[in-house]
Amino acid sequence: MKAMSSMERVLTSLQHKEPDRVPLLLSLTMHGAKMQGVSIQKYFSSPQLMAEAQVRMWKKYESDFLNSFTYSSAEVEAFGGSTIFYEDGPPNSGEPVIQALEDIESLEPPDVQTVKSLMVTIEATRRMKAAVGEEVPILGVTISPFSLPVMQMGFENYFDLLYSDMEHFRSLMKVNTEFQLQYANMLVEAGATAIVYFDPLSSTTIIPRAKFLETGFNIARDAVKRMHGPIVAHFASGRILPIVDKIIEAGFIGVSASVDEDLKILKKLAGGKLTLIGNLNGMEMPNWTAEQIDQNVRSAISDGARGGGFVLCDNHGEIPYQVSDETIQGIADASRKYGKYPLKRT
Amino acid sequence: MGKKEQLAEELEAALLAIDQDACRHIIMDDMADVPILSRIENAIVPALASIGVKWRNGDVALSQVYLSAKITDALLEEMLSSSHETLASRPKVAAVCLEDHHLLGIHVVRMVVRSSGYDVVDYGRMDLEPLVERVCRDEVDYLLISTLMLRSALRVEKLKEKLEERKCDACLIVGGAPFRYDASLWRRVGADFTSSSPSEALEFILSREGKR
Ligand code: B12
Repeated sequence: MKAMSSMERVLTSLQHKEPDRVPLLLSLTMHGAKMQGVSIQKYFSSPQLMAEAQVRMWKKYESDFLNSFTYSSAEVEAFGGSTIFYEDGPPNSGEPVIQALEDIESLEPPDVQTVKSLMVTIEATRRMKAAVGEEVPILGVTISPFSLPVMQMGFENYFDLLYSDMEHFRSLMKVNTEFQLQYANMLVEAGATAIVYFDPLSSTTIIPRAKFLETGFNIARDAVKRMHGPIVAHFASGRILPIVDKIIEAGFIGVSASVDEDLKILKKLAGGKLTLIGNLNGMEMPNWTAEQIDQNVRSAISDGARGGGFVLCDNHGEIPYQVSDETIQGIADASRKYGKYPLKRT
Repeated sequence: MGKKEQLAEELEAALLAIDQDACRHIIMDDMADVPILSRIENAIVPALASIGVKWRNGDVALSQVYLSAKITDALLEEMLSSSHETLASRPKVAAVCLEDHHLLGIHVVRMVVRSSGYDVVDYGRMDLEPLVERVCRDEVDYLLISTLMLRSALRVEKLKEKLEERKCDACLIVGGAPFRYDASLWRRVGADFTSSSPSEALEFILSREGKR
């Protein structure tokens, strides 16, 4: 078969057909800073450095996506939150902005245009689009309205709210939903091919299915209806087997797969309905040997890729800063070695 | 099933249902004539240990782990406030969130260990250098360390080195997502034990104390 462009490869797989080879999503964010020889903080403030690095990394590793994600805390900056930067790891959110329940009552959805950190992402997306056009899909990432409060108010306060004060919970969701929708649609307008809806709070690692049905599910279903463009649900390596039926029902086209769960079972439940994205263990990657790279890539492909509907990726949506260039190259090489369709029977 | 086992199971079910009143009823009414330490040992400890294992296996969610620890911690306070009994303060156990900004993990750990009858000094969030000082000064026997970010987890190696330089032999028990996803990380950073279940950290401490 003639080699496909990244876009053709990904679209074919999303239609649950087999392209020339398994599409590869290398979730590289901070590695762009390394490549450009600048600090992580500087890198995430420059649309130009980001767009350049994304294109260079796509070419270098022959992967199939560009990604304009910077860091989750950027969306909390929109609400007045702060971000803590590190030399050797992802930025984290600082003190919660919602300190008391009354703060929720006066909360308004911020205007994305006025948020510097988010406009970096929008502008980086535009530049990426200008560079690759229709040849490579560009991913835009947003934190779900339901998961954002962990950073807005702290995890414990949020759990307490979720289990004891549905009224304030609903007010907060209203504000977050408006904000997230605005941002997601701006990403699509800027050139994002698909939106990754980051919602680990909905994972059954974090809340039980029954609570999800009452909360995160409705929010996700409404968000999918109102967002433009295809939407992928991402759970940051959280578990999803007990809620796969609902992820399908909510209208997502793809979903992240975690090493915590059996990819074969997930494929059985979601095959033909959701494209599975995963499930390499990013946390172990810094210490993978060449053999482990080979073995892990091969087994993910053999468990998930038959018939298409599969993208090889790490299971968190961000490869840790500590993962070396050789390992990333090794993963890319192995994905081509084992990912040619038709797949060999193993 | 004996009465003890039955109460532990009832408590576990009430905790997982986040039914505060039912939990209170079991500990304060059904077990009213049982000494506090026996209520802890026979009901709270097995219930929390079982919930920890169920979370690891994907059978319960973190919200249930957190809220059940919170409920038992509050019940413990209530029991202690109306009695002369106190928590065991030997061996000396401290809990810290190392160079990270995510305190949920260490709070759950502290509440579970306390609810099991052992006092835990709360160090909150600390950077490495002041932590070394504090552990040496306080003569900590067991340091419970939680990290959520990989970069913070890797800092345990430096912590171990600095403590050794100071001839401080505190036992380091680590936990949090990086240690759950890389099963050999705890060894590589020089820790003495890890678990995704706070109850198992306490079991480790007790078995080590027993061997002394
Ligand atoms: C929900 C989630 C989110 C949510 C909320 C996160 C938060 N707390 O702020 C959101 C969407 C906001 C998010 C964002 C990010 N996330 Co996130 N997220 C998760 C997820 C699914 C759960 C994290 C969590 O908070 N768990 C709750 C804690 C309490 O669980 P725990 O640490 O495992 O602790 C339990 C046990 O391990 C044990 N335990 C804990 N400590 C100790 C200590 C001892 C001594 C013992 C015995 C036991 C013990 O007790 C706890 C329960 O009983 C994990 C993946 C996963 N499957 O776990 C990723 C994860 C934590 N995220 C990760 C990352 C990188 C991020 C971001 C930095 C991404 C980015 N570039 O922006 C941001 C940072 C957010 C911030 N606060 O600034 C990584 C961190 C590791 C790494 N690669 O460095 C993880 C592990 C994903 C992965 N597989 O790589 N995330």
